Amino acid sequence: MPPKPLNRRTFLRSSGVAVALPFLDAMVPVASAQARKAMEAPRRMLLVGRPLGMYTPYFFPEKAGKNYEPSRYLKILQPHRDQFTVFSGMSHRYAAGHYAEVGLMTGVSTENIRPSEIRNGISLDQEVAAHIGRQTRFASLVIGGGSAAWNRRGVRIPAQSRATQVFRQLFIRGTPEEEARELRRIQDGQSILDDVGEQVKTLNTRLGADDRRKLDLYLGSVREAEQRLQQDEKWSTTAKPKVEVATPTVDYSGPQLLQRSRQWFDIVQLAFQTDSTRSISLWLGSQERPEIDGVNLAHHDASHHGQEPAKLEQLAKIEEAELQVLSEFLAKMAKANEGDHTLLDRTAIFYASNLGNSSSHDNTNLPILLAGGGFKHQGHIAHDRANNVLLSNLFLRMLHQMGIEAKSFGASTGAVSEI
Amino acid sequence: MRRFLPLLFLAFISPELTPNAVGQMPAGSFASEVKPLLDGHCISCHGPDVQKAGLRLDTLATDLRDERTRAKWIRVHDRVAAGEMPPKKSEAPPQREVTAATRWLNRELHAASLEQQQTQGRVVVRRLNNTEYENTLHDLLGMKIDLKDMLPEETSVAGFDNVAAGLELSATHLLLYQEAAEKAVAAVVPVSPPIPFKDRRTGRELSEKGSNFRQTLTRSCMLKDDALIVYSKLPRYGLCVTATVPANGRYRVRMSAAAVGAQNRAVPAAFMVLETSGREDAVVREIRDIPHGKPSVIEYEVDLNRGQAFVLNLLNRWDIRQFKKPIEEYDGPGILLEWLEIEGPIGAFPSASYDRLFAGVPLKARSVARAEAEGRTPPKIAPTRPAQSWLTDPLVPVSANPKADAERLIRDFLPRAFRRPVNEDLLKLYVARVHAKLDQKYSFYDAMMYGYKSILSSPHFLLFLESGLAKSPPAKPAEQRLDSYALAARLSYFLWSGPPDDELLKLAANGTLLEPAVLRAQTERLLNAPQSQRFIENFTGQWLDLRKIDATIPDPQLYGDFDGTLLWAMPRETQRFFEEVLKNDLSLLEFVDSDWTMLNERLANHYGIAGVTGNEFRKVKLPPGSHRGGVMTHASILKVTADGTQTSPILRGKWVLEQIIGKPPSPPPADVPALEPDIRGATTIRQQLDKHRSIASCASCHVHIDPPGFALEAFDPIGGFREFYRATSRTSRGLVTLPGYTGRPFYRGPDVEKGGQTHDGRAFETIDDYKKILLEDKEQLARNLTQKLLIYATGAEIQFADREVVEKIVATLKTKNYGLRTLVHEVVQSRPFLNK
Repeated sequence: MPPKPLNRRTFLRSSGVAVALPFLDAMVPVASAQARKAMEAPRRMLLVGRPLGMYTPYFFPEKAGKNYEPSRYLKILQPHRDQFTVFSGMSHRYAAGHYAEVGLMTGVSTENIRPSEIRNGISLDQEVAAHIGRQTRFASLVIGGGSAAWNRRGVRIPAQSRATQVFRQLFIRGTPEEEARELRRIQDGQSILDDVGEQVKTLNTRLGADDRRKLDLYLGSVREAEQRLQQDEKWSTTAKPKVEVATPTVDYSGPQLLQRSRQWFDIVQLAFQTDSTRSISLWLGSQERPEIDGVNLAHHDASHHGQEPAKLEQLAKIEEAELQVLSEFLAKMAKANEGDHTLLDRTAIFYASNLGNSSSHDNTNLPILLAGGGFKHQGHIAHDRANNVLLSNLFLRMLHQMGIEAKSFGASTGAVSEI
Repeated sequence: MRRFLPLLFLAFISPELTPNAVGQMPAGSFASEVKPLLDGHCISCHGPDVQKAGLRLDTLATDLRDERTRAKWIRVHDRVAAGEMPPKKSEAPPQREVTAATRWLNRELHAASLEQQQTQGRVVVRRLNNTEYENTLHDLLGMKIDLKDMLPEETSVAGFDNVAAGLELSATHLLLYQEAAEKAVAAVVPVSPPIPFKDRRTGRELSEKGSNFRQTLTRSCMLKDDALIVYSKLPRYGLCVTATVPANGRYRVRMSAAAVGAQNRAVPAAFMVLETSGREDAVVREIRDIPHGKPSVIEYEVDLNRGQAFVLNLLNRWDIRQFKKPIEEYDGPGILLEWLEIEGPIGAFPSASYDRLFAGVPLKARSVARAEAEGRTPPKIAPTRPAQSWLTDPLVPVSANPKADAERLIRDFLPRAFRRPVNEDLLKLYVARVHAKLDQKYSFYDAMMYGYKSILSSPHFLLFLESGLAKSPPAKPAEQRLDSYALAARLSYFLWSGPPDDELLKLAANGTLLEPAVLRAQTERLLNAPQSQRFIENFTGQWLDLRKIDATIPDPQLYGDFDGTLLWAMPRETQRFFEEVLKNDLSLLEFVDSDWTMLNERLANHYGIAGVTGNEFRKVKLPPGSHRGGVMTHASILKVTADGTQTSPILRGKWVLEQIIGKPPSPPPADVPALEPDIRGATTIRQQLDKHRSIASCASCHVHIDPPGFALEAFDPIGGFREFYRATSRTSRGLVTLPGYTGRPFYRGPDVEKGGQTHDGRAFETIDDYKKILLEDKEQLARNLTQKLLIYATGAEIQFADREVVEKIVATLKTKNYGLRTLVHEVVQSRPFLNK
């Protein structure tokens, strides 16, 4: 458990000074390097989403339990056999096709996700960020693309899709003059937002109810932006971590699925290792023909295999290659040490798609893999394929593992207990 | 995932039930008018015991003022009015019960919807979308700056990305707007005084610069003395590329070039821009014909950013690699380039854009400005100082009277940015903010940057504030009418996707814009201005999905006849076609069928139409038997409705229902696997679909979806007309040789089955027949486009009270030959457009 933040009232009483500031840094969970060292090794979470499902007959093993026979795909991941669990018979029970992407990480009830309509809730990565985000330079990273991350008011959080930029933000230090300018930009940004907030409030007194509701959402975003800048300001005086890797110079596009995935995974590992953030959602979208030997169909095209053997084989080649990249990432995470633990032990890695069968746009029986994170991994946990267990129940379990004592998440009816 | 976002429910409006017709009906009540039908014919499937489609009617609230409740009753009304409910297989209700229920619902839904519009306004407050944001800064600063790519991608609602419901404003947006504003303001300030820059390379020199020429010389290009002859698209790192330019600005490109080859014709070449630091491919700015014969000097002006370069390349796929003899003997089409030159930046210094933000403020090197501010002796800047040194010590605006200049500039900029006069308090606030920064020892430039960023982050800039500004409190019905400034903005964002210009603002200031005749004249003026290209591009980009034109790449093994010049031409045919209809007030039915289209040589070749030479688009009368005419037969549409390799009658059928007819099908049930076309050449998609339709739950929708898809099955994924499918594996019917086809040969697959019948049994053989069937319901075609245009023009979905407006417009169009320009005017003069 992180140290309890200082209660503001206590602080004011004991200091005996009338302080007009709304809060001081010491009142939020402390972030100084020393304090962090003193803390228990942190827990982290990575959510990886893929839009086009996975051919689950090649993914799910036939047998349940720790002694399952690896399926075609799971053979690739066998080096990490004790470090992950595959779940079958689990989903959000949606029927919204590709559109279910927006709910994959939020797990709100099915009534809120319709093909044409959405009333979304907060996504798992943002829930985590809301609790522990202030302890790191970045509360969370939303990267890769897609529509997986949502805030508490159901507003989508756009993803950063340029790896070079993300790397820069995380690790590249400017000259003293650049840093001074950056600090000023952050402070200017805050005062600009103050004015924006005031103007919105003034407008609000003059508009109708529908407009006011919308402007209230805007006002929430203004506050959130202010918080982000406050956090930026706090961190701007701490040097960015140095990493011993070459600065990436290329942002890979659609067809370079594997290079792109590898690059993102590398950044994720560095971000965790340097404790720059503890919550990341990564979307590995792909539509085009990936540059993989022997693949001549577009990914989306191959995913509509219609059981045709030649197409299935193409799809399998793509998915095997993707899992190979995942396996490399798991290996790196397992090799990196943090105190007595490996980085993998401290990081829950959730890897899934919003489609269970992309050929029919089916949103049940999702391919789900959970690795690392210090869970008691069980090989293959098989639930009823006809009557799926809610994925939100796993999300709730993951929150608990992060030390966040939530009572529910999304549409959860309880926390899964097997792991 | 855009395409999976909300579809608007627009279908099934029966014109005979418009409020005009029911206005005189006795009021009645829900209990007397609707309940009898529900109790007798609906509750058994939508009641306490069974709730089909999750709908329960006996407990459904009847307070229609609630938007969610209203949405449910609208669905009930529409299904019953269309005769779809109760379902055919159950006992038919008495007609009088159906009529009573639909009339009551229609009237009450209309009244409730109208009340909502009159109290709250029809369009919820919305922000500029990315396109509008970029255009707005472009028009404000008179300079094109790429800002759109910095901002999060937009979400479409009801088919358009300017609809309020889709325009979220997250914290990320707010922070990125600050960054974008900073980029835009910085872009108008030149880094250095004009440093003459000129670079000329002969063909030989060009080939010596690019490493990839080692592979391509003597294979797809060759040297002849100092000239370079290019026969096929050159790869990255082996391009005809100029030097990288040292500063942002406009450049003059000159080249001495000629088309070569025995065909004795001009050859289209792409004028492109390359980001020399990235790995992205060069971007096509324009395609130009290079004349055949002796080399002539060709000039071209292009806007470039520092680090960019100009590229000349072929986009055609003339596969010279299949030519086995020495390249010197090749006589196919190519381009001979003697030299390529770039010079600039040209134009005034500082640019007019600088004056938009810093008029009357001199520029000095930053080191000089600092020294002066600190009272030190400023360093000497040599007139010959190299471009590189200016990057670390750039020019900045330096004012001798910072506070006065700041106030002058802010006062000038603010009303332009806010698109209306700004009250004195707000003006003073911004001036005070900048003055405070000056007091905090910010440099003049930094303080102004702060001011401009603040202004460009303001809700008055980012949002369409269409009510509540002039009066408080609003919300009396008559007061939902837009004031003249809001109307000016709505008109300019509709037809220019950008802010109102001086003339519109002047007419807003004197209020005359509110007069219908003035509004009409302004609509004409805006349509006739070059900025209306933005309307054409944005509207057709979304209505007809042209934005997806390069979403898929056709399989090169099957479609070796696809290349960059064809891709470039495809959306242009459709845009020019729309423009032609709009310009001449031609009938919107031309979109369904026409005896002409807009073609250039490449596209005409693709369509097998003779007599069109050159890269320019022109109106071409279609010869009999061309099977072309109307947008559905444009290669662009046929490409965006296919997945690159294969066509699917389902996708195309769905597209026609949604975009052309305006009756979108329901989404497919979750438990039915999708169909897969078979490109091995064994079964056709038709044979598979026939199987699919034998499933009852599929049939009810597929009888609507499949017919237009079948009618278009005679067109391949790149829009070519076909009698048979192309196959990659050997078939009994052997290889196919097409005239002029230079790709790897393919096999002849099964023949395309012709014909089909519509859901109500009307048979058709070809797309020509099918278009005639569509044209039997002209009003529906007009209704669809009216709805789409109204959504786009106002930024809100069609609401129930809008239906009467739509029907009125359709009735007017009917008497005016369904003219598209007439439709634009009707939309502009309509209640939804004139009111918030």
